[in-house]
Amino acid sequence: MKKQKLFSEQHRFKNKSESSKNLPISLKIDRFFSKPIYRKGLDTSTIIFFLLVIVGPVLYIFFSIFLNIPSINEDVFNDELIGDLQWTIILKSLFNSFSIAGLAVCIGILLAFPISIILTRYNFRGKKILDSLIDLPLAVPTGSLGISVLLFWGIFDISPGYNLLLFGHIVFTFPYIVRNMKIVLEKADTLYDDAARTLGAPGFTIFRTITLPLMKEGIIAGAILGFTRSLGETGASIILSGLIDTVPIVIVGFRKQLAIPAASFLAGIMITISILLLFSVKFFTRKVGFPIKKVWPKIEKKLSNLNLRRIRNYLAIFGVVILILIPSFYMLSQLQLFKIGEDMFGKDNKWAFLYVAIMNSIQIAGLAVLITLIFGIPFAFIITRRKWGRAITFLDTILDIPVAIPSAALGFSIFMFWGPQGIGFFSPGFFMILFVHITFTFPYMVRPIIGVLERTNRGVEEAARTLGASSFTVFRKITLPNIKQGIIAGGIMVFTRSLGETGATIVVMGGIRTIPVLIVDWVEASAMSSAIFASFIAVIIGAFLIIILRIIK
Amino acid sequence: MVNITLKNISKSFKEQVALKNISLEIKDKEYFIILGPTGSGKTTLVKVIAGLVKPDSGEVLFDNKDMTNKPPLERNLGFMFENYALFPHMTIYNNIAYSARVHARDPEITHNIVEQMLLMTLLTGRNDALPEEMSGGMKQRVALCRALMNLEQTKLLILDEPLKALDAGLRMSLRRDLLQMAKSKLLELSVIHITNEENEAMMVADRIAVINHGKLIQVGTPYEIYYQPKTLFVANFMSEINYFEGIGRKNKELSWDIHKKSNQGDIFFEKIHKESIPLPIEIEENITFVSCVQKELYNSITEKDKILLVIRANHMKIRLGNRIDEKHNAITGKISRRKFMGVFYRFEVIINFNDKEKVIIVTIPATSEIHDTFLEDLNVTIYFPKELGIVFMHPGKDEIDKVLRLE
Repeated sequence: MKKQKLFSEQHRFKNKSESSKNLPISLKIDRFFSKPIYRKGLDTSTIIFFLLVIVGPVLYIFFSIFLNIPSINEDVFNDELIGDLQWTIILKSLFNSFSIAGLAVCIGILLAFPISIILTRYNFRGKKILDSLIDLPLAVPTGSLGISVLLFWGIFDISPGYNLLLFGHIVFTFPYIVRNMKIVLEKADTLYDDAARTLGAPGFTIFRTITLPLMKEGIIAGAILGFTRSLGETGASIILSGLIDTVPIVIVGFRKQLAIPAASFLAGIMITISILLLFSVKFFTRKVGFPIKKVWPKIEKKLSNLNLRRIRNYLAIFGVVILILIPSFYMLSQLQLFKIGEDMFGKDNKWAFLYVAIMNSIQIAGLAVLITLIFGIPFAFIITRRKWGRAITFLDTILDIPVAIPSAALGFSIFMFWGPQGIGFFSPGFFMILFVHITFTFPYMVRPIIGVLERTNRGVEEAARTLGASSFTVFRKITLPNIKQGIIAGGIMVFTRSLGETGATIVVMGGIRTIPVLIVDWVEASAMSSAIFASFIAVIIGAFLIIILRIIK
Repeated sequence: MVNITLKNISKSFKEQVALKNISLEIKDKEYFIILGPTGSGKTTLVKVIAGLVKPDSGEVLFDNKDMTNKPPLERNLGFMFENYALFPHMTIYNNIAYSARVHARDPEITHNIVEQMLLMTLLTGRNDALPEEMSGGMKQRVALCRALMNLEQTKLLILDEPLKALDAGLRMSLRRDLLQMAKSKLLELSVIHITNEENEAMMVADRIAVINHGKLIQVGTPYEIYYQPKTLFVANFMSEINYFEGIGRKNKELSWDIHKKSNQGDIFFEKIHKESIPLPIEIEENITFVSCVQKELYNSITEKDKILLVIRANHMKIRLGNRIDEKHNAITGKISRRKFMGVFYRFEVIINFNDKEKVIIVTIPATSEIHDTFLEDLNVTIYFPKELGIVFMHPGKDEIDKVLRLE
């Protein structure tokens, strides 16, 4: 009986043409924009944006080096006054940057193995807190971390120089490494572990022959990200370097001295090396395997000992606390609250500077999120949904370039391309900072969206389409809610990266200051307590963002 | 040689109870089926046996040796996972050889055994293929080989839904292969095989354990499970059923001799129904059926209890016309729908109980005679031998609805 009633009700909808006249306005708009021409228009403008913003500046730097060969030759290698001093500085800085990045990543990976396993495979009280604390340095400007590291190791009489630089770089590369390892570990089914256990493998053997090879992708991704972040980091490096130079410091220095040919030469070298590194790592790691055939049962059984595992876990947590967590947040204990009033509102009126810097930072980060979002969603769609074959592979690969190359070098190439020396579209200042931030944060927005898009069940979208929804309605009502998480995760990554960026900002800032730049300025001016206070505010903003991210997850 | 004993195994995951007080014994060289719907706790149970899941309480004994807290690596049994869990980064050769390497067995002997296994499973020459390059059937064979490699003194093989991901045709032939392998004199295996398909269970099992909601409902041979299900759930799980609600009238006089053996039975009754007594069951005021009931249950039934009479669709008989034979449980009706199912015909027959309509399902092996004569809208008589009736205490209306909707 009920069924019959239902069928008779449906007859009322039979006259479809009549019902489409009374469509609500939102659905009408959807249908209008579902025409293929708009899709093509959106695709085209997204690609143009991508090429102009990301590919253009990078290519231009090589072009400008090529044009300026004589002046580079004159300035860098055969200067009248200083000879090839600039070349010596470049070589030294290259060595320092690469050796520090390599060491920091190696130490980070060693620590990250046990930590990522503890965070994914164990259950204990305070796990979430530990997890958030490890993520927190991601959201704090590296300049603030630099101060904190400086103050903490100062207790042990480690003064600015190579070692302190290394300690600092470990702090901010570690979260990237752990994060990527955690993602693959969460994805790698414990099923394989179980299978190996029933086949009689002890814990250590399972880790070496099953878990580790399955983690390979994550380890490599984390290592690349950590390595490139370390290569490109400026803010903390300026604070911790003492007399040692790294590449971004040198680029920033050349830019400040207006030694443009030398700066562009070094930026070009750095971009070349970074891109080569990225491609060779991506290419070779597929072929490299772990030795899985040989097993040393006795040794490995001993290594699987429960006590040994416990010792390893405690050591790892101890290592993280000493090397990462305490150095990251030590500065908070040095906050001299009673001095703040005098410091901030005294005769320098530093509060005014700080307030303007905070506002600049938030505005730039917010706008960067907005713009990368607008172009990021269609771009992620192009990568995952369009069937353009090779072109997609190409776009997918060059998408990572802004992440791979040091932001100071990237900032410099954008300065050259859009600035007075190149097209002359922008001059250093607010909009140029924004532009640079859009460029280097774009991949951070797109990657998570691609991740969710690849995981979403396309059957749902097809179901909606068979039920008569236009393609834009499907996007608005079905796809968008599904990829919300990716968008939010990407947005927060963009915001925090933008908030913490120093090197690129210094190159293009003109007279504008952002928080990290202000912190570096104040440290250089020995206004330590003001710098600490500014860092404290940065930490609070960062912690706030991380908490939001947690709640959403 | 291995006898597995489980004593009062319980396991919960957070709030959810996965296993509730399960005791089982699996004998040496037995092919033991664990049958139950999805999410009933089957996989958790075998993971407890394999040592992958630690029970909250209870004991696991292998040949009377307590293994409850021993890690999997000391159990040496073969475990084949649902979806096979082949290591995606290893070639099939390395997958199969994994346990031998982990145990540091002689490499040369290992090599020979693996080669032989590949030969037997028709995978020779594919040593270096990766799991992702293989078809479902091939993966299944590799997973089986890998599990077998781990057997030492404990000759126990656990198969977690081994045929689930395969095509119907392949599944049929692999059932045969599995049975042949398990029963081969060479291996002398005990097998625990999980499935949610009653056909698969019936085909290979020595004994079947039926599990639902983490509780062990019944253990027995396929005959026992089929002819003497302990609950409506088990009865319904094995094949399509009809049921009548009624009241047992032990002293009711009927016009026919209810103690006379009916000639409709098959040979298994004798054994199974040795201990049973015929019971008249009043379905409606003027309709009484007779069904054999186990002695124990017979004694516990009083006239106050509502009981449930279940007859499998394939135990129903059908003939044309309104000919009620006094010697049978018979009732007249009309064929409302006829379906050809290949092996058999399925009829839906509408019967009238004092103006109440009821649909009875009858399935009969397909013959051309049935095709020609049993047509829709014909009046028929349906009947069933008393030996094939299954009687339960009435579990309550809600429970019946729940079970029968489960399919």
